[in-house]
Amino acid sequence: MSVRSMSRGTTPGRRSAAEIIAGSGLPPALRRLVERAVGACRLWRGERAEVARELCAHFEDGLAAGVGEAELAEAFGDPGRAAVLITRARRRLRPWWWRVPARAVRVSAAAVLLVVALYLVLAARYFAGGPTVSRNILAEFNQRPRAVPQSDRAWPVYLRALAEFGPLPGAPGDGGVPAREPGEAGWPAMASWLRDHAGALAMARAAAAVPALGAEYGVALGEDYRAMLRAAGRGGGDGPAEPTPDNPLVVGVLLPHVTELRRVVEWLIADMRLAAADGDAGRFLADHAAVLGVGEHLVHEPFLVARLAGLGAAEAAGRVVRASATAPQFLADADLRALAHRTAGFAGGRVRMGGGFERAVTEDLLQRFYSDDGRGSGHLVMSPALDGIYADFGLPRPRMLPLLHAIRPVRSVLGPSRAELLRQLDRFEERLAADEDTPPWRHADRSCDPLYAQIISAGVADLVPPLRSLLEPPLRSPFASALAARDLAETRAAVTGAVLAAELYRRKHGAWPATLGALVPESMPSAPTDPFTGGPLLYRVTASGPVFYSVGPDLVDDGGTPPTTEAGRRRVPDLALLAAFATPAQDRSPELRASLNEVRGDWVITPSPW
Amino acid sequence: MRVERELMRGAGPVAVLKLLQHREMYGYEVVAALDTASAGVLDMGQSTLYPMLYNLEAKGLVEGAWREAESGRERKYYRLTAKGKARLAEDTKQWRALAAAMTSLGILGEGSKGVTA
Repeated sequence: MSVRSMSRGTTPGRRSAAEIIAGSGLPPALRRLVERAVGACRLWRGERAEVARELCAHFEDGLAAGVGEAELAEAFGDPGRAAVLITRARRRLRPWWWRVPARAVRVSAAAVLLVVALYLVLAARYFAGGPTVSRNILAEFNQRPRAVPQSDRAWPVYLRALAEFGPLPGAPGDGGVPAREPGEAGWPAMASWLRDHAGALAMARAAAAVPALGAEYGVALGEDYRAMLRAAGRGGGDGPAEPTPDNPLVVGVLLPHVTELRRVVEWLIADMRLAAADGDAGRFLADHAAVLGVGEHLVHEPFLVARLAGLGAAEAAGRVVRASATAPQFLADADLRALAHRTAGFAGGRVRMGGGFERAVTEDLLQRFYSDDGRGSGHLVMSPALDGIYADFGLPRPRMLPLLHAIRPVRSVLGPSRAELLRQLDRFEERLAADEDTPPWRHADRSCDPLYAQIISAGVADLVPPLRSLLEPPLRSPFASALAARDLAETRAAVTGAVLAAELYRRKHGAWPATLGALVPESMPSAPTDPFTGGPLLYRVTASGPVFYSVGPDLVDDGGTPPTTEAGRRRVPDLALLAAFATPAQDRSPELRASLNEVRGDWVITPSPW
Repeated sequence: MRVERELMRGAGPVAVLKLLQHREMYGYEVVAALDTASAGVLDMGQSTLYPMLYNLEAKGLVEGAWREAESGRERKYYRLTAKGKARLAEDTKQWRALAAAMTSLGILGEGSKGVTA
């Protein structure tokens, strides 16, 4: 009690409520009534004394007015209810420094209760629902290879070739990486290895000539593949086979055939070089056809990584062709024409980078982690797949896992529904299809990557870290990068055709064509296009032969000078060109911008400046 | 007749403010005056009067002070504050408008005799 309130007479001094009641002149029944009312008040001591004082005065006034005890007690009503009302009202008279925190505590408690109640509702919604796994998407993927009769499948032939190749080549001391072309330190050993494995190379060529790959997909290594590893003495095929779940997550699919076919391409390319060095045009052409055959197998796989590997195979073959086309007395005119036709016909002239795998993965995740309301929608629900997912992918459980579990009911409501994710997927696929047909010089208009990133970050991948690490591509713009890689590969393939046509022209006319237009339409339907400008690819005849080049990312014609850096003429790898090509100016990292600012020169496709 | 609690919740405070308009009163006096002035209609349970007075005090509409009466006993006297006067004026206007509306509906006035009897 403050001095001020004491002076106003609003305090009964130091007397307690009990003392005040005892000291009143009230009859026992009314005293008990006041005691009950005041005793039930949840107030400070001084406040209770004040209430007691006022109630005593009230009844004394009533008695003085001639009203009977019983009548006064009845008129007063229920003392318990009076205590509740008095407590509530008296507390409003308390000072602000008590009322404000008290109200804050009450509001906070109410808010906490509300949040807990809401969370319980959300948790019930999350835990009550369950996913319905109705599709086996891996089996759907396998329908295509399984439709191919065993005798018409290339993959078993590749496996026989791989078994015959034996341990991977690579001299000790060079890091196990075999030399790829003449002039490298390990080339004699590599050449010897190739000659020793002529039979395996022949089998690889035979495999590449089979139209369908026929490799089945799984989340564990197939027994046929393990048998090849054992036969080749490469290790990895020993021990018991891994269990193969009936309907595994398709995102965990293994693609050993992509890795192995890339190896086969490497060896066939090395053998092309060896054949060129040997002057063996027949083997050169056979290897070339085989590399393109392997490339065709890869680009018809539904996975982006396989399609990129297929493009890489075709480009590797093209590089050897461009370097060998003008070698004296090596390739006949008919050989040049055959190489040109094969190059132009690879994959029907255009590799589509969208393979439907993204849709399959998303739909698979939706059926495992989302409920299905029967109308195409649903929400994130507790899934039994969550428990085993870390073990399945051999990943340690993160410390924050309980927290991730705890927020899922909330994310289930805040995150997009199954229908919304499918709509996002539709939009992504529409945009990817448009991006596929966007010409390379307008690469900045390609915009499917943010839509894919949105699906990844908005869906279950955001809540299940192993999935995020599996789904999140290593590149920031995987599809723009893949399309840019394809555009560069198409340009290189067009240049390969132009190089072959120019060589035929030189053989016929005794001089290089003055312009690429001189080759059209007799040798080529049209001149190659510069992917950076949309204009004609640049061409210049020098004393050492023709140079085919693009202006490159700086869009400046430097006369066919390869890109260098101002600091020491360091070579600028294709990767930098690719990154520049695939990354819109506004998205370039400071590092990339700095490295590109250093680039002065053109993208010289042939002759290779390196 | 006793008034329904919901109606009393609206009418009680303004009735108390009106009683205190011209002079200060102590608790029992307010109860008795309400009973007399309203012919028992606004006879609220006495246990609810004090919470109502404390609420009016918390809102700054009335203020109370302990004083010794002529009888020698101490009583807490309540009187209207300036804010309370303004509120009373405002509430009076509203109640009159309400009464006019109720009259035009036939709830008050001629047709209501049987109801208020």
